[in-house]
Amino acid sequence: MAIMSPEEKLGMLKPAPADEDELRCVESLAPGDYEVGFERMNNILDEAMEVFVRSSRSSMGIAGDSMVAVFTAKGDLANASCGTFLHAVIQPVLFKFILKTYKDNPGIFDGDIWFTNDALYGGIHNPDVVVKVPVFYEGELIAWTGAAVHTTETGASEPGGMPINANARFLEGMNFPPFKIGENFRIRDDFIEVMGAFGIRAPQMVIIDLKARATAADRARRRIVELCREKGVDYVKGILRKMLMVAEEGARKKIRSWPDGTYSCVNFSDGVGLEKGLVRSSCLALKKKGETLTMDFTGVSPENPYSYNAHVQAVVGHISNFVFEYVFHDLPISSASFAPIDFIFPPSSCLNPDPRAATSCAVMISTGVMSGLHNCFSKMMFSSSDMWSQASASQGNAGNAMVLAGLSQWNLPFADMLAYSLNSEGQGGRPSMDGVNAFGFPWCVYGRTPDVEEMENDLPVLIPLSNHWKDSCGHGKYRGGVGTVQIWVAHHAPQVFFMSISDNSKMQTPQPLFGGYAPCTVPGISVVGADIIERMKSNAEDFTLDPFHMLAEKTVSGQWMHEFFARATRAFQKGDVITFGFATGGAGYGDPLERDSKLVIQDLKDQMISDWTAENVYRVVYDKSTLKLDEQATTEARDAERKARLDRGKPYDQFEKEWMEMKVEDSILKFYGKWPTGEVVNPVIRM
Amino acid sequence: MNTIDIDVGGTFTDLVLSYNGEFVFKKMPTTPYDLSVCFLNVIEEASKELDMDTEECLPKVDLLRYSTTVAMNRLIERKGPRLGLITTEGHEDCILIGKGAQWVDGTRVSERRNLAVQKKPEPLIPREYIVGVRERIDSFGNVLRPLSADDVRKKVHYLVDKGVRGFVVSLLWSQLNQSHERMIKKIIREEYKEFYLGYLPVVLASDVIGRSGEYQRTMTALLDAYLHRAMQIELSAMWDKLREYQYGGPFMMVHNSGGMAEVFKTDAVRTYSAGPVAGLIGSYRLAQDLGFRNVIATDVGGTSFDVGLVVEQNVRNYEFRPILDKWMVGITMLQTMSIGAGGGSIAWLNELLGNRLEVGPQSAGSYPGPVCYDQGGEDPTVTDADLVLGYIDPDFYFGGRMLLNREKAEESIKTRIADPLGISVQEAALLIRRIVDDNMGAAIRKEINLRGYDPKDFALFAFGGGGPTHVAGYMGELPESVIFPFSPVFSALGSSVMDIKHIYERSKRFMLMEPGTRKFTSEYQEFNAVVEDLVEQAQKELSGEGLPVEKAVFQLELDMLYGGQVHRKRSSSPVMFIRSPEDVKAVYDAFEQEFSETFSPLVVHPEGGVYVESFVVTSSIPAQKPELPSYELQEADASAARKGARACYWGNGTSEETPVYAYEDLKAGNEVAGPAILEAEYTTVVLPPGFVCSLDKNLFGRIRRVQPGTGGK
Repeated sequence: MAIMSPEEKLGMLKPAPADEDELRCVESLAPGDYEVGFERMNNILDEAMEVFVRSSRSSMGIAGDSMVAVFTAKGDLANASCGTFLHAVIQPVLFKFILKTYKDNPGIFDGDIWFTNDALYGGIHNPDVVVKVPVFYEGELIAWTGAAVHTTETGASEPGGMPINANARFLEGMNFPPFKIGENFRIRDDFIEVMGAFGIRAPQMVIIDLKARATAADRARRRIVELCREKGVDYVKGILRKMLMVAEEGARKKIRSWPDGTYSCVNFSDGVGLEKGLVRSSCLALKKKGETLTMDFTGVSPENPYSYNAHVQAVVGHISNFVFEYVFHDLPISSASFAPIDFIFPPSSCLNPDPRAATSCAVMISTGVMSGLHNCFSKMMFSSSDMWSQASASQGNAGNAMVLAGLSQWNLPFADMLAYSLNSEGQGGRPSMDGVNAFGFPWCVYGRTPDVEEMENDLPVLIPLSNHWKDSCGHGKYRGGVGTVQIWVAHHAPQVFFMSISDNSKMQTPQPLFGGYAPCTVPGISVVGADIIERMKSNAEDFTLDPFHMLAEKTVSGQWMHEFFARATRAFQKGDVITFGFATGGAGYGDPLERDSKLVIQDLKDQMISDWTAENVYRVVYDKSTLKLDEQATTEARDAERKARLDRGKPYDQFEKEWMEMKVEDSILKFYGKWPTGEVVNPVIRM
Repeated sequence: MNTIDIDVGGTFTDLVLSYNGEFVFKKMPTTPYDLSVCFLNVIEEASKELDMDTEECLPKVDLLRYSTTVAMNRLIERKGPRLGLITTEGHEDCILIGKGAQWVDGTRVSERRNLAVQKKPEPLIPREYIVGVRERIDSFGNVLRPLSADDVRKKVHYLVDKGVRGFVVSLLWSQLNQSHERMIKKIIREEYKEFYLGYLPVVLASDVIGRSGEYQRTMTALLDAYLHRAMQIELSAMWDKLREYQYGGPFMMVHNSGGMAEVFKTDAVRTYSAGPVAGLIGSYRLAQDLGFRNVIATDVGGTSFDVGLVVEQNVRNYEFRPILDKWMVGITMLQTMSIGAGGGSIAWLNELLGNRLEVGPQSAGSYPGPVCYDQGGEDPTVTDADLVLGYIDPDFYFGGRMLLNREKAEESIKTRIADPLGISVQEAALLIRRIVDDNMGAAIRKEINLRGYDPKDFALFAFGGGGPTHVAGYMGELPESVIFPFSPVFSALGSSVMDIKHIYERSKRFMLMEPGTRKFTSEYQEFNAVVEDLVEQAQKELSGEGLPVEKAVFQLELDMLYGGQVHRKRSSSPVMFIRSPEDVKAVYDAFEQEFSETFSPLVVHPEGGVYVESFVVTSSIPAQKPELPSYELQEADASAARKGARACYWGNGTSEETPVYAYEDLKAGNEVAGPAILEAEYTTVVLPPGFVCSLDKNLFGRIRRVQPGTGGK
C-alpha cells in the first residue's frame, strides 16, 4: 500500500522548487503581465466558485462552505477562491500522491476526473469531498484544478456525515483514497451509483453535490485552457509559478517583522464522542526565528477511540483558516505561504493518530488548535509596529452542529445539518474594539444563517425564540461578540429525529487574551412533553420568551433534560422542545475592569450583558431603572476589586508550587493521557 | 410628446430633453447641498439650447422623469428619523443578527478577507428602540399566539417615551396573515392621535413587501420608513419649483425594477441603483432598434464601472440578494454588476506583494478628485494617466469648462508609480490604463461567462463619461463596441424609454407538481384567485393614478423551487391563469429552463415536487418609443472633421503625433482608423492602433479591432 506517513504528507505541503522551464516562463512575463494574469486567475476561480455554489444541493454547499483552486502541474496550490480556507493549502498532498503513485497506472490524461474523501490520504475528514481534474494544453500537463465541499451524508453509522460514536474508520461510511472516477470529461455511471448507495439517506443531495464539484473544477479548467489559447501556455505557467513566489516572499516578509521567541498556549475540550472527559486538544509552542515558524504540538492528548482525531494535514488545514483570515489576509491563497512554516505533531496523538483511527469529527478536535493560534500569534504580533491590530482573542470555535431528520410537513424525507447556530458564533475581542456579535461560522466565515421563516417553512419546527445570547461572550476590556440562542419545538409533524455534535459543554475551548475571560459554556437542554405551545396559545401573563427567565423559573412544564451538548440520535414528539440551539460567544480581550464603563452601559441597553455581569464582572455602578452611570462609585468599586485581587494574590513561587501539585480527578482523565504531560498511557487498539 | 429625463449622479447631473422631435443632451455638476439646484440648472441649460428660458420651456413639457441614487446615498449620513421597531416577542434581535455575517453585505471580496477589522454596520434602529410583542403566527398563516393589545400599548408607550417618532411594524409571517400588524397600527392610532405629538408614521412590513424572509422584509420596510421623509422633502422642493414654472405634467421616478411610478407613490428603496438600471433599459431598447439580440451594457463613471446584460432581447435578471448600502432587502431589483473602477480610481503599489501595481477599488471621488483637477488630490488616478498619455486635452475637458493640470498629474505618477518601478512616466501611465481596462474586461467576461454565454455572441455598448475613452481597452474578444453621441448621458436617455411599471407580490406556497408522482396540480382556482386579486389591485392603482388601464400589459412571474431544495428562482410564466394541464406544464417548463440556466441542469429535480412560493404580477403601460434620427451614409473619409493633432503615447517608447477629430463634425459613413482621438463635449473617444471606428446611419460609432495599418478595410 502507498499510504503516506505523516512526515511525507507534511513534506508534500512544501512547494516543489521551480524548474528551468518554470523560471523561463516567469522571466518571459512582461511588466504588467503578472498583475493582469493574477486578476484573471482570480476571476476564473471566482466564476467557478459561483457556479459551484449555484450547482450545490447541501446546506454547506449553498452556504459557500467550499473551495475551488488551481494548482501547478507539480500539485502546488497557486491560488484559490474560498468560502473556507480549510481545504486549500493541504490539497497538494492529494495531487502529489496521484502524480507519484498513478502516473503510469492508470495514468493521468486529459479529461480525467479524480475523487477523494479519505483524510488518511490528505483531506480534512471524510465528509469533505474533493474532485480534481488535470489541465492539459496541447498534450502537456500544465496545471490541476480542484473543488471541495463538505457533504452531510457519507453512509456512516449515524446520519449527518460526522458520526460521533465511530471508534474506527470502519464505521465512518465511505472513505475513498484518490482514484479516477471519470474519463473524457464524464463521471462514470457506476461511480454515481456507488455514491448514491453510500448516500442512501439523502442520495439526491450526495449525487448533485458530486456533479457540482466536477462542474466547478471543470469550469476552472476550461477557462485556463482558454487563457492558454489567448495568451500562450508560457504565460499561464509563468503566472502560476510567480504566484507561488510572491506568496512565499510575502509570508517571509511578514514573519521577519515579528520578534523572535517562543509563544505558547494550551486548550482543552471536555468530551469525545458521547463520553465526557478532559482532553488537551492543543498544546502549541510557536517558535519564531528569522523568517521561519515552527508549530510544535508536543503535549496534546493521545488519540481517542472516537472520531475526535485529526490527521496531520487536517490540522494544518485548520491552521490555514486562522492564518489566511488574520495574518496572511492580503497574500494569495497559496500553499507557498506555508513554505516558511514547519510542524511537529507527536505520534499516536489526537492530532496525529493511527491510520485506522476514526477522524470524521476532526473539525471538533481541531477547535483547540484554531483557538490556540489566536493566542500565540497575538502575543507574537502585538509588539510589531504594523500588525499589532491583528492581535485578537479567539472566535467561539465551538461548531455545535445540530442535525434534524425525518419527514417534513410537506411529506418529504430530510436529513441535514442546520446552519443557524453554526453561522452565528461570536468573534473574539480585539485590541481596540469588541468582537463582532453573531459574527459567523469560524470554519467558513462568509456563510449565512437562514431566516426563521425559511427554517419553519422547510422543516417541521417552530422557533419561538431566535435572539442574541446574552452574556455568552468572554468578557474583557474589549469583550468577545455574543452568540445566539434559538428554541426548536417539534411542530407540524408527529415526530422529528435529532442529534448534535460538540466537544465542549462544561468548559470552553477558547482561551481569553491579555486578562480577558473565556466565553460561557454550552449546555444541552431539551424538554420532553413540553407545554410551550399551550402556554403561547393561552398568552399567560407569566410566560415570556426571555431564555434566562424560562430556564430559571422553568416556565415550560415537562421533563427538562440537562445534558452534554453532544447527543446521540433520538426522536422528539410534536410539541417537545427539541433543544435550545446555542451558538457560542467569542473570547474576551484585556481586563474587564479596564472596560470603558460607558460601553458597559451600552451593552446593557443593547441587552448583550446582564445586570449581574455589569455589577460582578465589570464592577460598574449605575441606576438599574434609568441605566444612569455613577462614575465615582464605579471608580471606587473597581479600585476595591483591584485591591481585593491583590489580597487574593500570592507570590509567584508559591503559586507555581501549589499549581504544580494540583491535579484534576482521575475520573475525567480517561482521554487525557498521562497527567500532566499528556503522553500515551494505554494505546488505542482497533481491530 | 415633449419629455425631460434627468439622472442625478454623485458627480454630474445628466439630462435628455426631447422637444418636437429634437434631442438635447446636457451635463451639469451635481449640487449635493440641494439637489433641486442642479435639477433646475440642467433644465435651464437645455432650455437655452432651444433658445428658451426655463419659464418658457417647462410648460411645454408633457412628462418629466427622474432617477437618482443620491437619496439612498444619504443612508451613509445616518440622518433619518428616530424610529421604533415592533416585532414578534423572541425575535427582537433579527435585524441586529442580520443573518450572521451581516458585515459582508455591501463589501467587495478584497475588503472581507481581513477579519480583524470587520464590523457590522451601525443599526438604523438601536436595540433599545426595538420591542417584541406577544403574538405569533405560524408558517401556515394560523394564529398560534393571539396578539396581546395590552402588551402592545405598554410597549408603544415605552417607545414614545424614549423619543421615537415613527414606527416600523414587522411580525413573523405577516406576509401570510396581516391581521396582527393591522391591529398594532390601529392601537397606535388610538393611543396617539395626530394632535398630540404630531404625525407618527406607521409602516407595516407586509404593506411594503409581501415576501417571506423576515430579515429582508423588515429591512425593506425599515429603509423605506427611514428615507421616506427626506425623500419627500427633497421631491417636494423640486415639485414646488416645477409648479412655479407652470409645469403641469406628471413627475415620475425611475425604479430599480426597470419600471417607474409617480414620485409620491415611490418607495425610497426602489430608487437605489436606478441610474444603472435605466442605462440597462436604454440598452435594451436600442438593442431592439439596432437588431442586436445580446448586448453587454457598460457604464464607466468616476468611481464605478457598471455592467448589465441584455440577453435574447430581454433584461429579466434579478439580484439574488439585493443589497442597499449595507442592508439586504427583499425587493425585486434588476441585476447590474458594479466594480470599483473608473476615472477616479487610484493607482497604488502593493508593497507587500513585491510592489505590484494595483488600480482601485479606492477612488479619489469628485473631491479632491484626480491630481489633474488641482483640488488637492495627491494620488494618481486613471484620469491622470489618460491625461499624461495625451488622450485627454487639458483645455477641452468637460467642454473646456474644467482646466486640467498635466504637470501635477505627471509628477504624481512619476514619484508614486514610475520611479519605484523603474519605468518611464508614460509607461507607468499606460500600465495604469492597461490594468484598469483589464479589470473592467474581466468584469465583463465574468458576467457573461457566469450565465453560460459566449462573449463572442455579444455586442458591447459603452456609455458614461469614461466609456468611449476606455472601451477599446476593455472590449477584449467582443467583436464590436457601440458608442453613442449621447453616451455621457445614457442613463437619462434610458429612463426616457422605460415603461410605467408597477409590481405586486404575494407569498403563498402552492404545489404545482406532486413529489414522487410528478403529477401536475388540478387546483386551478386556488392559483388563479391569487393572480386575480393581484391584477385587481394593479388595476385599481393604475386608475387611481389616472393612467390608461386599458393600455396596461400584465405579466405573471412566480418564485418557484423544487421540493427539498433551497434555491428559489423567479420565473416568467407563459400564462396568466392556469386552466388546463397544458397550462400547468407550460408554467413548469418555463421554470425548469430558467432554473437550469441560472443554477445548473444538475440541480433540476422534479422528483421532489415543484412549489410556487410567491406570485408576482407586473403591470406596464408601454412607453412611447422615440424615433432614432437617421442620416444618409456618406464617404468613409473623415478628414473634414479633423481638428488637429497632438502627441499621444501608445507604447513603443515614444509618443506619436495622433490625429484629433471633432465627434460632432463626423458624418454617417465616416471611418476613422486608430491611432486617433475623437473629441466630444463630455467625453473623448480613444482609438488605439489596431482599432477603427465607423459611424453608422444613426451617427453611432461602431468600434472594432482590425490589423494595424489596414484602416477599416
